Amino acid sequence: MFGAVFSFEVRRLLRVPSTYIYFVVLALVAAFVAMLSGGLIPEAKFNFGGEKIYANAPIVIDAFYSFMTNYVGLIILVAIVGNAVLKDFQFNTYTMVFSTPVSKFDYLGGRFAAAMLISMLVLLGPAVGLMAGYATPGLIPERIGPFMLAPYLHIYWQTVIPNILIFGTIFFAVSLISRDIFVIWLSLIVFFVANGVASSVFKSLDTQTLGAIADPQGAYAKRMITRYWSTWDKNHRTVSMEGIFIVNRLVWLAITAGVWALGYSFFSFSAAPRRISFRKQTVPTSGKVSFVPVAFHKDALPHTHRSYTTATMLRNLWGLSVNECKTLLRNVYFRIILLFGLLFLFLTSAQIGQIFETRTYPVTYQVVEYFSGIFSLFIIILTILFSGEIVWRAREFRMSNILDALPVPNWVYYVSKLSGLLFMQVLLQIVMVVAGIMVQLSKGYTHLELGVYLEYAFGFGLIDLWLLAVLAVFIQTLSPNKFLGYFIVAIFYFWNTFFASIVLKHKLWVFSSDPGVIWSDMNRFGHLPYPFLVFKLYWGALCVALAGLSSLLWARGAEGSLKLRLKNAQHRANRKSWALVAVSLMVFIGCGSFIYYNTNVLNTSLTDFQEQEKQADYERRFARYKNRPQPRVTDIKLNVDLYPDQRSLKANGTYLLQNKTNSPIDSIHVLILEGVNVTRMALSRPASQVFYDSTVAYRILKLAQPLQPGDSVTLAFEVGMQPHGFTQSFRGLNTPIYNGTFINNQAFLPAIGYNNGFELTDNADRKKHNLPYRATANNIDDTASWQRNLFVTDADFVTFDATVSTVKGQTAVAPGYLQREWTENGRSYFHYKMDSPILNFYSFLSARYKVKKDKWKNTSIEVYYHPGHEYNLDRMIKGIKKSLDYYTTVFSPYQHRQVRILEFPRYSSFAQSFPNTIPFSESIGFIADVESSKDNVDYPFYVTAHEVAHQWFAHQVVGADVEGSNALSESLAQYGSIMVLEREYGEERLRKFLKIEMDNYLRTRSSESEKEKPWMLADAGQGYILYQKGGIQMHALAKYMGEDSMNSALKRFIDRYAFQGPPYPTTRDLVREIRMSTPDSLQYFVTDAFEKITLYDNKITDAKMNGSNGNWVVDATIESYKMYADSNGKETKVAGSNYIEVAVYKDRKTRSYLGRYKLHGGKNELHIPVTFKPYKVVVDPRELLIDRQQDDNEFRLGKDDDDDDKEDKKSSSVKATRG
Amino acid sequence: MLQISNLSKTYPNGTQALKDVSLSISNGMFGLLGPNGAGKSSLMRTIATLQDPDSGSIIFNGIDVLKQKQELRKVLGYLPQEFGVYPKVSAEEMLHYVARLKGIANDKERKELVKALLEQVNLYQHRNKYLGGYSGGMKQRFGIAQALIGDPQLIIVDEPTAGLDPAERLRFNNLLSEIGENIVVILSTHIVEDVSELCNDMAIIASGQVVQRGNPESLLNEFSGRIWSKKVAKEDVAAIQSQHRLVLSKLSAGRMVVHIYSETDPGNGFVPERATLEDIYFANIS
Repeated sequence: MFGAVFSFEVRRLLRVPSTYIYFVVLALVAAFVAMLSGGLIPEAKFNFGGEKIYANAPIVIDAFYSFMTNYVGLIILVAIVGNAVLKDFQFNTYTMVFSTPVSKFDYLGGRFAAAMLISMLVLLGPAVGLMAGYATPGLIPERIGPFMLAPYLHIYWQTVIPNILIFGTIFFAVSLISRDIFVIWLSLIVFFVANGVASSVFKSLDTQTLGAIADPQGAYAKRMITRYWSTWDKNHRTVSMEGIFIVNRLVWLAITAGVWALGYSFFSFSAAPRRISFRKQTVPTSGKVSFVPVAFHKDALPHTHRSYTTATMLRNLWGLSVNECKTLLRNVYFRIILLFGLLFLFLTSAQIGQIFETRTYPVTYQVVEYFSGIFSLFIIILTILFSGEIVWRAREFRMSNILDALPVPNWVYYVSKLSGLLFMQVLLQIVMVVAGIMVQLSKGYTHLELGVYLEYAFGFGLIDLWLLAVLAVFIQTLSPNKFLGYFIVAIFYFWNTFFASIVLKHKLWVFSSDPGVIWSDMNRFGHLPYPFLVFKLYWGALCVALAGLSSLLWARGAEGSLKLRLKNAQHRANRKSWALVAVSLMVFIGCGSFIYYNTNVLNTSLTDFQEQEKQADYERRFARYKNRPQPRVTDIKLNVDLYPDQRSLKANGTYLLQNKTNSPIDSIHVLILEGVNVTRMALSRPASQVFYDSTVAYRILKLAQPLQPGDSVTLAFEVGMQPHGFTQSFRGLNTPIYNGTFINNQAFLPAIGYNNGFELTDNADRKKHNLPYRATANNIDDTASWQRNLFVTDADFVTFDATVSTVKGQTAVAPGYLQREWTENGRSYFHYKMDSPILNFYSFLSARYKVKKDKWKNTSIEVYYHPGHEYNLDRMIKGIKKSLDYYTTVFSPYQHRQVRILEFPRYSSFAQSFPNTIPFSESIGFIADVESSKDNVDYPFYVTAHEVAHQWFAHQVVGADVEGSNALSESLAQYGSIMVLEREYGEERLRKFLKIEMDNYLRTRSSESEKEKPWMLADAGQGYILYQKGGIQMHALAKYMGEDSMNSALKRFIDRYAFQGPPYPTTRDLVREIRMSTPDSLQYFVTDAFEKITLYDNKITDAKMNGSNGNWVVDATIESYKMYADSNGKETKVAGSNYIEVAVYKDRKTRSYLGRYKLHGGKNELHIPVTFKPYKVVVDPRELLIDRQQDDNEFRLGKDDDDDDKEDKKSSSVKATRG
Repeated sequence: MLQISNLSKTYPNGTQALKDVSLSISNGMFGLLGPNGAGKSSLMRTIATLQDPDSGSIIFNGIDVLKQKQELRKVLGYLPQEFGVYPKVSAEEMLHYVARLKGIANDKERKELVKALLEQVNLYQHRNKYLGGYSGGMKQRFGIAQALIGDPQLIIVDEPTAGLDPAERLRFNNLLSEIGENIVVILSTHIVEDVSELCNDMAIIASGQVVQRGNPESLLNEFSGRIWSKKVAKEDVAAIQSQHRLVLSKLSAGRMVVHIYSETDPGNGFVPERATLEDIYFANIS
C-alpha cells in the first residue's frame, strides 16, 4: 500500500510543471549569483570575505547553497509538502481516499516520502546552477578555484537533506494539525521571525553555543566552526560533520522524529478537521424560528434619499474606508503577524545600540530607528499580503456579483480599499510608537521625544509604506491572480531594495528612493527633509498616476480580461481620471528633472566605479610628481568663518612654506578638494600658475626664482564652501551643518604636493581600472618614506593660530588655547593659538554646546556636549584624569595644558584625537548605559583613555609613512587604554573586554581580503591587527615581562622620537626598545607577537584533585600547540616550549593560584600543590595568548558536585579538529 | 419596461451563451425558465451590467443599459445566482455597506432602512452574526434584502431557490411575491413551480435562445388537451419516443409515466392529461 501511495504521488509530482519550474528557477538564480561572484560584471563588486577567496571556495558554495535551501527552499517546501495531504481536502478527494482501506501510516507515510523525495530532487537545482555558473566562460580566472565535487556532496547530505527533512516534517505536521495552507505559511513566517530574534539574542560570546544548537538549519553551528577560518581554510576546507555541527544535526533529527509522530497522532481519517479556531462559530440551525412565515411588506420600508453626487461619494468614502480597515484588522493572520512583530520587537529591544556588549540608554532616535527598521518589515509583509486581499477579496468570496452591480464608480471602490490599507499602516505605525514608548519606560527611561517619534513614523516612514501600498495594489489590479500578484510584488521589492541602485546607478530609477534622513540629537534632521520630500513628491506623483490607472482598470463584472478593462477605461466618463493620470505623470517628470538638475547638474553624481576611475585618472596623470621635492608647511594662520545656517564657510589664511630639502624648488604643487571654491592662491614671491586641472583641482605654481634650501615663502589663500541644491546621498561630516559642524583641514584647505592618499588602494579595483599592483603601504625599509610622517605628507610639526567665527549661540572650537572671544556683526568670534608644535592635522567644530569643566593638576578639562547628553560626562572626565595620571607617570609629560572632548553628530561613530582636542561622536559613549549591568565594559571611559593616549602616540611620536607605522599610534594607544582600564576596573572585568577584542581579531582576520601581515608591518586598513591584536599582544607582553619594563621601553621610545621631524620612527625602532627591556627567555615572545602571526591551541584534557584540609594537589593534563600562520592563514605547528600561565580557582570567580609553566608542544602533565580546595583549573586565564578555542581552557574539578554540571562540561568541550 | 433586442454573446472558449435574444418585459414578476446552461445567468448578468454582449441592446425605462451602466445600477436590485459572503462580516454591517454604496448617505435613514429590512426578511435576531455562519435560506433572505435597498425599479433574481429546502423555498417565494408590483422583477429559475406560483409573464430559454414566450395561463391554454400520458414499462419508452413527440418520462411507483404531445388523441392506452408548466417546459427544451 505504502508503495502504491508513494509511487502514485511521485509520478503525479513529476507530471506537474511547477516541480520543474522550481528546479529551473533555483538553478538559474544560483547560476546568476555564481557568475556575478565570478566577476561577470566588473562594475558589480560581489564577493564574500575578500578577493582572495575564490568565488567557488567551499565556504562560499556552502553559503549560497545553504541560503538557497534555507530561504527559497523553505518556500518551495511549503508548496510541495503543504499540499501533500491538504490537496485532498482542497479538492474534496478525501471523501474517496478516506473510504478506501488504506492505512493511516501508508497514506501519510507515502505522501510524505514522495514529497520529501521530490523536494530533495528539486533542491539539487542550486548545485547544478552553481556548477554551471562557475564553469561559464568570461569569468575572471583568478576568482575561480579548481572544481571540487566534494563540497557540493557534503553540503547536500549535511545541510540540504537534513533541513528538508526537518522543515518538511514541521510543515507536514502543521498541515496535518491545522489542515490550512495559510497556517503553514504562517509557521514559516514564525520561523523566520524566531530566527531573527535568535540571531540577535545569541549574538554575545557566552550564548553562541546555545544558539548553534538551537538553530534548526545548522547555519549558526557552521558559522561557529568557520568563524575564525583563514583565507586558506576557506578556499580548501569543507565543514565536515564535526563538533557542534554534528550535535546540532542529531538534536534536530531527534526533534524531527518527535514532530512527525505528533502530527501523525493528531491526524485522523475524518472529514471534519480539528480546526484551530479563534472564535467560536455559531451556525444557526433551521430550528423553530425559521418556520415562522415571513410577513413582507415592501411598502412598509422606510423611504430613503439617495444621492450620487461626487460630494456624497466623498462623504461615503470615509465610512467605506473605515469599513475596509476594520475588515483588515479583523483578519486572524493580521493579528498573528502583528503579534509576532511586537514579540520580535520586545525580544530584540535589549540589543539596541550595543557596543562592547554594553547597551545604550534607549534614547528615542535609537528606539524609533531600530523599531521602524524591524517593524517596517512586518508592515511591508502585511501591506503586500493585504494589497492582494483587498483587491481579490470580493471576487474570492463571490461577493463581487453583488457589489459590482451597485451604482458606485470604480474610484470609490479603489479609494476606499486603498484607504483601508493606508489606515492599517497608520495604525501599525501608532502601534510601533506605543511599543517604543513602552520599551523606553520599561527600562526606566522617561525622556520621551514624541516629536522624533512622529517625524520618523509619520513624516518619513509612512510615506514609503504608502507608496508601496499604492504600487502593490496597482500590481494586484493588473495581475490575473492574487498569487502571481504577490510574486511580482515580492520580486520587484527585492530587486528594488537590493539590486536596482547597483544596476541602474541613479536613485531616480529606484522606486521610493530618497537621499536618506537621519536624526541626530545635535543636528535634528538637519537640512535633510527638503531633498527627502522632493524625492517623495517625485514618487508620490508616480503613485497618484498608478492610483488613477488602478481605478480606471479596476476589475469589475464577470469578465475581467485586461483588454476588456482597458476598453472600458476609455469610456468618455473617465476623462477626468485620465486627466489626473496625465497631470501626475507631468509632475513626476517635472520633479524627476528637478532632481536630476540638483544631483547631476548642480552637483556631480558618480557611481562608485566612476569615482574609482577618477582616482585612477588622478594617479595616472600626477603620480609622476610623487617624489618631486616640495617645501613643507611650518606655520599656519587662519581665519575661518563658519555659516552653519547656510551650511557654508569662508576661510583665508597663510601657510609658511619652507624648503627643507637640499635642492632648490622651482614650482609648488597645490592640491585642494574639488568642490572648494578658491578665490585667491598667491605666493609671497613672484610666481605664476602654470597648470590647473579643474577635475581634481591640481595646481602648479611656478616661482620666478627657485626656493633655495632653508628658504621660506608664504602661501596666502582664500577659499569657500557653498552647497548647491542637493545630492543623491547624504554626507554628514566634513561640511558645515546647522548644529554640530565637524570639519577637518583636509576637507577644505590647500595641501602641498601630490598626495598618494587619493590613490585607489584596493588591488582588485586597480586591476579593473588598468592600474598596476600597488603595495598597500610603503616598504618599512624605504628610507625616503621615513622623511614623511604617516598623517600628513606636507608638513612635520607646525605652529598654529586660528580665528574661527560662527553664528551667534554656537561655540566654535579649533586646536589651541582660547585667546579672546568676542561678538562682531552679530557673530561670535574665537581666537585660538597653540603654544607648542602640532601635526598639520586639525579640525574645526561648531555647535550649541554646554561645557562641563574640571581640572587635573594644572591641566584644564573641558567636555563640550549637547544639552541632554550628560549621562557619561563624569566617566569621560574620570577617563581623562586616570589617563593623565598613568601616561604622565609612565611615559612623559603631557604637551598641552588642556584636554577637550567635543561632541559631534552621529553621522559617524568614532572619536579622534587632534591636538588637545578630541571630537567624540554622540553615538559612541555619550548615551552608553554602563550602569545597566555589572559586567558592562565602560567604553566611554575606555574610548576616552584611548584618545587621550593618542596625545602621546600620534601627537608626540608619529611614525614614518611606511607599513606598520599605524601600530605606533593605534596599538600603543590601545595598550595605554587597556592598562588604564585594568587599573580602574581590575583584571576580571578587563577579561570581558579582552575576550570581545580576541573574538573581533579572530573573526576579522578570517575575512582579510589582501593578506594578513604580522603586527610590525600592518597596514592602515588592518584595524583588527592595529587595535585588537596590537592591544592584546602589548598587554600580554607587559604581563610576561612586567609592566614596568614595558613602560620603560615605551618611555625611551618617546624620549627619543617625540616632536622630532624626519626621519620618523618605524615599528622596528619600537621593537628594538622593547627587546632591550625583555629578558632573553622571552625574546621568542616578542618575535611571536610582533614579527609572526602566532596562534595557540591550549586545552586541558583532564584534571584530577587529591588531598584534604588545606593540602591539595591538582594533576592536570594540558595539551598545548603553537602555530605560525602565513599571510593566507595556512598554519604550521611550531616545535619548542612556551611559557603559559595556569591558574587554579577556589570558586567560580576567585583565582587563588597563578603560575607560569614552560609547556612543550603536545601533552604536558602538571602537578600543582595548592592550599585550598580547588574548584577549577584554567590554562591562560588572563586571555594573554591568541587561542581560537577558549571554552576548553577550563577544567572543572570536584567529584562531589552534581553530575549535571559535569555532563555539561563534557558536551561543551566537544572540539573541532583542525587541519 | 425593459426592452432586450437581438442580444448575442459568445464566450472566449466558443460557447455561444446568447443567440439573438429579444424580449420585452413590463412591470410585474417575469419568469425566465430554462435548464442549467441555457444562458439564463448570462442574460441576467448582462442586464445587471456585469458583462457586455457582443451585439444587441438593452433599454430600461429610457436607460441604455450597455452604455449607461451607472444609471442602470442606480435603479437596480440584483440577487445573483451565485454569491458568497464575507465570513467575518455581520448581516447588518454588510447591509450598511451596500446601502452606502447605493447612495444612502444619511446615517439615520440608512439605519432605519437596514433595521426595517432585517425585520422584514426575518433576520433581525441574527443581525450581528457573521454571514459566514448563515444557512442557505438565511443567506438568500439576506440577498433579497440587499437587493431591495435603494428602492430599485428593476430587480433581477437569479435562481434564488436552488438548493433551498421546501420550507425555505416557500418562504422565499412568499417574500418575492410581495415585491413584484409596479416594478420589473425578473426571476430566473429552472424550477417550474417557482414560475407557476409567482409569475404572470414568462419566457423559456434553451441553448441561448428564447423558445417560448407568453403568460403562463395562455401558454397552458395553448397546451390544454394536447398532453397525453400513459404508464409503461421502462423498456417501452424508447419505442414510444420513436412514435410520438415525447415530452417527459418520469418514474411513478416503480413504473414509467410518459407524457407526449399530440394535437389528436393518440389512442393506444394514452389518456388526456392536464397540461402543466412542466409539460410546456419540457416540450420546449427537448
